[in-house]
Amino acid sequence: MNCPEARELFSSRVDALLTPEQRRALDLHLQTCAECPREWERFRRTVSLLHSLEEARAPAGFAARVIEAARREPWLRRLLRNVFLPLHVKLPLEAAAIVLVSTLVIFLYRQTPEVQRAVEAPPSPRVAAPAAEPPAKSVTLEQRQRDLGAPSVPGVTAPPPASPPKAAESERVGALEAPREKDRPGKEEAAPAAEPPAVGGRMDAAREARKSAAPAVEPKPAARAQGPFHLVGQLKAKNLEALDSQLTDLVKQVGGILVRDAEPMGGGSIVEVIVSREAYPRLEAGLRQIGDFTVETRASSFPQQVRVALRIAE
Amino acid sequence: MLAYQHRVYSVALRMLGDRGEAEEVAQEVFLRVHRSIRDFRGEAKLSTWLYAITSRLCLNQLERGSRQRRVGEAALARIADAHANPGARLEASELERALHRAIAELDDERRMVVVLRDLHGLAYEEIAAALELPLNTVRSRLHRARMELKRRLRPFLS
Repeated sequence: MNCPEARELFSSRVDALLTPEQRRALDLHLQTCAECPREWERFRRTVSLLHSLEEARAPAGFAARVIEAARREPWLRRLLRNVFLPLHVKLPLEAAAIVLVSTLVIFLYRQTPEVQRAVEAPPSPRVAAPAAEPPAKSVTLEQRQRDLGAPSVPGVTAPPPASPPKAAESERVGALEAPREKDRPGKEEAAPAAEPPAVGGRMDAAREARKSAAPAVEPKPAARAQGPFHLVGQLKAKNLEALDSQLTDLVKQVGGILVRDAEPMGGGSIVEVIVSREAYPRLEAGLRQIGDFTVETRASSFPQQVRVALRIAE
Repeated sequence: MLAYQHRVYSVALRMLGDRGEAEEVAQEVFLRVHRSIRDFRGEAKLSTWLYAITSRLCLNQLERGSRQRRVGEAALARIADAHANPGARLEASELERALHRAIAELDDERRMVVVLRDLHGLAYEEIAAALELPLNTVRSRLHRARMELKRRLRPFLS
């Protein structure tokens, strides 16, 4: 072993990391070399001095300042840390939660017709513009029956809706008393909020019927025009079995829109017909040919679009 | 956690040579630990983790270039004074002053290894883990640093 090799082992010797062979070789060199023992002694004293140095102490109040600084941590950083850290744990959990909630929402949406209706129902005007209406449409909507069953319409015995909004009732009364006022555009805009809720089960049936039926069954949004009836009448058909086709033909002839339930027309059914004011006399004449038609309630004057409710009697 | 405050502060002061900066760095160390204590998986000793953060912050601070002013003689004397108790400052031996100065004149990487090993007693393996260095590099740096200190202290050791 030469001097440089021996001095390379000084650190390991101080830290007692030499192998026995290295230790023996180094000791042998230190016994025979003139300079290395002095270098080794200086080296050992240097390390010894280093070991003797005292550790500096943190200033007074340091711990309190750290705790205070930790409390002052920005809320956004705290929030992000709490939400996302540790990433390898929380990220998969959060992804799983999103998938679970999404699945639940889709499941509930499919199982709950009320939610589907709320999502699908378009904001519609109270009275459809004539240009936007098809010549004759047949619409399934139990809502019409519920409208007619409201207490404000005398003579109609259909059951009232579960909880009809009072605004809807007052609008119906107001429409029969002053239809012109109700036809103003400004008034019509508030109408959708007054629409009473429909019943889910029947709407499902109606939706299925619309899907499987001819395109004529599907109404344009304009045909879904909702609002007060300007005329409520009772139709006692001569031939109940032929009533469906007779009424459909009649409405088609007068260029109106037929809004009806998905089920076959029969006693107790209530259908809605929307016709222009000019075409109404022809509609009434046709109804009298189909059966015994009696007007129960009639507005003092008709707007351009007349909404007629027909209660089918046995 | 704050049981380590003196050790962390001491390393920062030895590396940075300024009490204010050392306190700032030490505070940042504990804030980082506070923020990520849940990530600590206990595979290493808590002290090693603390030394790792401390050394990283100190070396980053030194690398910013603002530390160049510390090369001057006055700055080196301040580092030496910073480690002496105010009451004992007058009594500090010339050898001790020389030692402080010699440590301050080491380059940052060597100084860090000497501080962790000879002043704080970390094992080679702990230093390697804290500084993310190979064991042989730690061994080599430590030996070079000690040899350099020996050379600088030679006038006081003969």
